[in-house]
Amino acid sequence: MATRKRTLLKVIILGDSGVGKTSLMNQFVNKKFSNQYKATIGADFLTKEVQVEDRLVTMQIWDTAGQERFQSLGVAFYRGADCCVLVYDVNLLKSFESLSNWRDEFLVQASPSDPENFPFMVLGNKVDIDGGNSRVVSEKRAKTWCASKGDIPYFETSAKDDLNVDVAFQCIAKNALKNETDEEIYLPDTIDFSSGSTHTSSSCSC
Amino acid sequence: MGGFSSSGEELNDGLEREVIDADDCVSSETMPSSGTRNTLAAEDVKDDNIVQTHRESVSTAKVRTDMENDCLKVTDEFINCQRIIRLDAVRMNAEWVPYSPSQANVTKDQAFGLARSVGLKDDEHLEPSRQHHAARLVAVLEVYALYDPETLYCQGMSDLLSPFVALFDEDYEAFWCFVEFMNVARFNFRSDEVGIRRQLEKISRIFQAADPHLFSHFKSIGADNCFFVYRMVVVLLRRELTFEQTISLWEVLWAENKALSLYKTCGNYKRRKLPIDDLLLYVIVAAVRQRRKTIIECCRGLDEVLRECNTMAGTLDIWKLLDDAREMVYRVHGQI
Repeated sequence: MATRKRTLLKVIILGDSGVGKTSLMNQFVNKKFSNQYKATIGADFLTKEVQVEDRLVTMQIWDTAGQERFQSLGVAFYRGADCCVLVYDVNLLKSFESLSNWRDEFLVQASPSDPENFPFMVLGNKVDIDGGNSRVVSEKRAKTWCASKGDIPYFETSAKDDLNVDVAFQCIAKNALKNETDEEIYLPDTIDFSSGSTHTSSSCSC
Repeated sequence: MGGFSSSGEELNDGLEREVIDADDCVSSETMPSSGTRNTLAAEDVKDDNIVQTHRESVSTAKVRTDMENDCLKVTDEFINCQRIIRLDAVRMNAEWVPYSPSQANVTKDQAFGLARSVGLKDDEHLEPSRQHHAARLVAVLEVYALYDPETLYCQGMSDLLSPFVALFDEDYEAFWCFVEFMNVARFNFRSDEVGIRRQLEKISRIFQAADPHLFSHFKSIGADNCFFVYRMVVVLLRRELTFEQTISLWEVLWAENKALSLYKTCGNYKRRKLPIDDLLLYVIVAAVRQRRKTIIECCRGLDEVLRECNTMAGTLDIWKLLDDAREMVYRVHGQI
């Protein structure tokens, strides 16, 4: 059981309504895109096996409701998270401005043991729209924000065109795994610590 | 058809005006509370003219700022709601189409015209019937948000409205039916989540009384809060059932409520088969219990129970669920 627990990475996706959380998850897990996903009510998750360096891990990716009104019940689902992915729509300023709230809310609700070093990831989604002409948040601005919050890794994605989705989730898995390694050093000695354990959790070399 | 179509347009104009009004808050003397503002300022300063001028300006500035903030907040909230309504409206599926031939055959021009009049965007991929349906959803939901500003719009409400819009060709009919429906359902959408929590607590008690073995399993895996049925409660099983099943179930629930009010009027409380006002919760418990074997044998956490519940779409027989629900009502309702 301990080994099974070790290899399950719990990832929470947060962000305003309509930024593409469900689409990103489905693109990564099922390699499918639809603009007809209904609004997520409460929470739901999908799982996917991924290879991180020489380890096979199961990612449990939690898709949450974007409307604030559903938040307090989400708490039950945030606990035990290994990584939190903050998503915004590059064409919608408000969704970018909400990132701070989502991050703070997550830290309060999930209360991770080491909030300073808890792995976050920011995804600027929908970069495909209108060939990028309708975007209102520049990459530079997003990166500046990420840097100010402890060097959060940042990717620009398009769930529709499957742009950067895999690479972002690989990075998410890698960082989540590092976090877990730091926290649960007492677990079985079959785990290979030879690589990765000395990296800081905020870096992303993938 | 589309009785609100022009209203939708007017509503949009109204909103734009509202935005302008909010911007004008500082200079406008026509805002409703400007009288209050002057009274406040006047009460503050009775004696000294010089001080009066100074204090009035300070006080006025403060009230102006508060007013301005209130206006902007309301407008911001509404605009955000409007964005989410439009987003959800275009995501509605076409399941209703066979049940509404008149709306299924709208022309491309009709649909396009209505969609633009309510400010719908990102709808180019929709066929005319769905575009038209989406536009009507927007019109009705925006009016509802104004009608019930405490609730405004919350995701899930479009799921609840869609069948009404499909069944009624006139928006005003769909709207008033929806209002009646929301009289009860709106508590699930309260921002303090008191309504939904109360429902989940009740479901937990039903499990405890009707199926102690399953309940003790929930307790042992930390799932006794019953968060796994959150979605079923909020949209009344709309995501699990087909269009036809949904209509049938909802009608049974309404009939039950009607029967309850009739019983109350007659003062006949002694009948064993008394109707109840939360039959839906028993139906949901019955749905979960269909998976009880899997849940007890395989689910080791809240997440795994949630997975079972979120994958029930297309597997439910509402008449069997209603039979099971009624059996539980007779058996345990007195204890709840």
